[in-house]
Amino acid sequence: MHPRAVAAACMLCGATSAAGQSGVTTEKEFLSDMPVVLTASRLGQPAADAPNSITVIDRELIHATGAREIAELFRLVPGMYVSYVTYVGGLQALVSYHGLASEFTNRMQVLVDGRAVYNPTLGEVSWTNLPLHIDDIERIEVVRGPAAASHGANSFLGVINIITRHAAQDRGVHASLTRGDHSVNDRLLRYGGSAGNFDYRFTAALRRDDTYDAVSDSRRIDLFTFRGDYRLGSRDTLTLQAGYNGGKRGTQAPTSVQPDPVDYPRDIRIGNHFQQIQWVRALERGNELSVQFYHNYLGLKDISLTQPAEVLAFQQYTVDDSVRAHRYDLEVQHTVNARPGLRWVWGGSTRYDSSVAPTSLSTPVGNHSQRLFAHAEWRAAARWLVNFGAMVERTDFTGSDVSPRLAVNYRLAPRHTVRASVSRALRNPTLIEEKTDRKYVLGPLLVQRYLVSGNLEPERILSRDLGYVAELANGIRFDARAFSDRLTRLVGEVELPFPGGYQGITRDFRNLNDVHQSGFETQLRWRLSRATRVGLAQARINTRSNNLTSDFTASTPRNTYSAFGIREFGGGASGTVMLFYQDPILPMLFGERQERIKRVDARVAQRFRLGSSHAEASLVVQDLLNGKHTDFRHDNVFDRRGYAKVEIFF
Amino acid sequence: MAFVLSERGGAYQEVAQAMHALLRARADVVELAADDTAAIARAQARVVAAVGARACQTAAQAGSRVPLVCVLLPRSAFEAATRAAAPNARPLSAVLLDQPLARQMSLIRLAVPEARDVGALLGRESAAIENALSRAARDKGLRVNTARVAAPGELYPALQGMLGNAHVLLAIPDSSVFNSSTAHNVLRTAFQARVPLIGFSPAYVRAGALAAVYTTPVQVGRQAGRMLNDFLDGRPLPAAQAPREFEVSVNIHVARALGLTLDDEAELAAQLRGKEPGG
Repeated sequence: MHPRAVAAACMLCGATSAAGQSGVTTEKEFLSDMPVVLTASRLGQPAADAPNSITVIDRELIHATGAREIAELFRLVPGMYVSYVTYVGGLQALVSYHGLASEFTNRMQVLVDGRAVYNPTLGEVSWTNLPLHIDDIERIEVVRGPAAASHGANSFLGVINIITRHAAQDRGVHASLTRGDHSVNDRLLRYGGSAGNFDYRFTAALRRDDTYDAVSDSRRIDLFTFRGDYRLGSRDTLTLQAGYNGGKRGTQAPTSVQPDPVDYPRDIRIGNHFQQIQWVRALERGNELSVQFYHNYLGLKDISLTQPAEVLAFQQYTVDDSVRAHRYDLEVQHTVNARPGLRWVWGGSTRYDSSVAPTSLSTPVGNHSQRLFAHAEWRAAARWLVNFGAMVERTDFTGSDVSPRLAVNYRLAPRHTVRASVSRALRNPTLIEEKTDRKYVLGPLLVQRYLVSGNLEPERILSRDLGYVAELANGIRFDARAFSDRLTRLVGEVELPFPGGYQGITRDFRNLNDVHQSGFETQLRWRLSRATRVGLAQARINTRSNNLTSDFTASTPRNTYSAFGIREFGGGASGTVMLFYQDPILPMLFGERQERIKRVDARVAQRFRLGSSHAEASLVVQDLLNGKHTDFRHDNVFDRRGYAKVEIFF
Repeated sequence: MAFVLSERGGAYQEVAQAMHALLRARADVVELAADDTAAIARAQARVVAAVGARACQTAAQAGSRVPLVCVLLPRSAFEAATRAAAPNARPLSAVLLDQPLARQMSLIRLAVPEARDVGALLGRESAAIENALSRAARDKGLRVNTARVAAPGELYPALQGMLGNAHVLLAIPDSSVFNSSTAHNVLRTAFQARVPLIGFSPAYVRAGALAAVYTTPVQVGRQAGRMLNDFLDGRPLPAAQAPREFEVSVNIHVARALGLTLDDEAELAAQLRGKEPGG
């Protein structure tokens, strides 16, 4: 801490005397006021009181996995499907709770510090292209089940809630270098400092890799993020964030099994950015008011020349498959502790999504939406806790709808809680599903890939679950849930005749599919000792469907398991082992059958001191036993690979 | 009698009023500001009561042989202010703000009954209490893990290292560890590690500490007033005293988020009083 910082801090808070500046503790330390740090929104709910099962991935676990890729962390979540496909925007992770896998994984809400990051055009999350570095994450909470009342639109199958580190938690310089197989070459430079009541952090990173041998999927990711936290007196805080993710990505459509004149392997350019400002005021009795505004921009530049092909009489044409999409969102939220045993959060937001895509949309498209939400937690009796709430949403495309939720938790014994819940949620159609007119006009040839009729209904889920949470004194946390989810009007693709177009066909989206999923999941986290931590996750999911457009039934793995063990060996040495198992699956649309996955990943690390700095060297090997599995497509072959990392904090 | 106040108003005035109320009509009181060194040196009084660290320092350095009672300051500040004074040259006493360690350990037992390992960060000023801390913990069936913070940059590595080995973190007043620029960060980091923090002021509890035992300025003033009364009755000044009366503050929201069930503040304070020696 700089003495200047103390002096500046105290111009506002009057906390430190002249003696304090010279480093002597005085009565001021006992008497001065202090900003409210653990505000209602930070405190959250303990697992036993929550209306859903939740998987927490904290910073310690993130670090111990050695993951370069945020999506890899979700393999530790029961019931989560994680895979990769090269498609719009280059190599992307596919992360979907309870499967229903296709290249569009658009049935989950993903929030980064309260900012919805699913892409307004496609409805999916471009994990590779997020302006977010894995090293800036403090904690991830995965809500397993619909949670629209508390987490907003699109909280359909579940919610991934990512919380980045407060700027004050990074001080000084952190640098790291990673090199490994498949052209892995990452660099990171971070600086955290403060000026008076303002804490800030800059993260700059370069990431390079080339994941699958047979696919044009190289990634050159240039990443820059900023976070500033400003304390305005003892009640108000202001958080400013901005980020950029850009660079060149290799891409190709998964259809290019046969040479395709349009979707051939090529490079595209990404230029995504966001800006976010959040103001939080701590009110009396632990109440809180927050106002947040953000803007997400997705920029994908894909202008290419068609390949010489017979069908085009060997003429070459320029194709512009670029996408530019904006999201503006303003949200107000009020947390109220009405009386002991009753608290609620309520608020509203308004959002505008727009998209320009010359090849996919015939005109620029926009969609306004507004929502009101309220979620209450009521301790009806000493052992009974009721969570209830709803979100009302209105969009230009679908009109108004309600997503309600009710959960009742009963404490069997001091550390054992059971839960029953029922909830309904919606997934509104995306801009692409509503408005796509995806075509290439190549001289005399019209390739009409999609021509949608629009007027889709929202997809619906009615989810019922029974849960059990145990938090035992010996460091064991156990969670189990049995669920029965009825999903209706799921959107799927249909092929339609298109006389006059190339191959005489086009595609449309229809609300035709009904799916029923039931099964159970368990999760165990056990801190055996200070040095040892283990975790297990299991899911069994039975999927039935009318399969009217695609094979929904086979698009979810029936059984998945994952396990991790982390051990500190003393002397700064540590090791991590992770095991993954997934039953065979046939993802939909461009997906191809994936055989059973059995995979072992491992990490070893050694911490040491370099003068007054802390440093760590680590080695990660993925698929240690070289089991070789495919990811989503037959040509995405994942085999044994490793990377080494050195990092230093000074 | 002279009262020297570090600042006008606020807590200092509350202490002065509380002392005054107990001394009613027994002595003429002049109130002096701590920066009025000339008046302090001239003051004709049987005893001087200095309120706050700065007042204590000024009064101690005034070169007077009048007995001095420092009030409303931590032990480290009292010791720093009076270090220069030759022993026996002048009767000295104090009513301090630091809570007895035994009382803090009792609060930990009541607030977090399952906790066995107590973490504490010690800085330059507080390093000396390490042994006393261990003894106080042992007497209550607890263990203390301490970490030294010699430079500002060592705070977070020390904290991170400690949080894995502690069920509860006890904040020891030391401005080189806990000050207005570090407290919020310590609270946040401890909470993220699910380790409750026991603070030393109600402001800490409002900010996000689980609980604190603390003494209000009025309570400090009453204790000092009684000491001054005894002195006027002809009894010698006692050694510096820890605060006798206290309150407990609890953040129920933090308690809930950490899955802890605590009695209410008055109930906890009553239970703590029952555990005081002679209580």
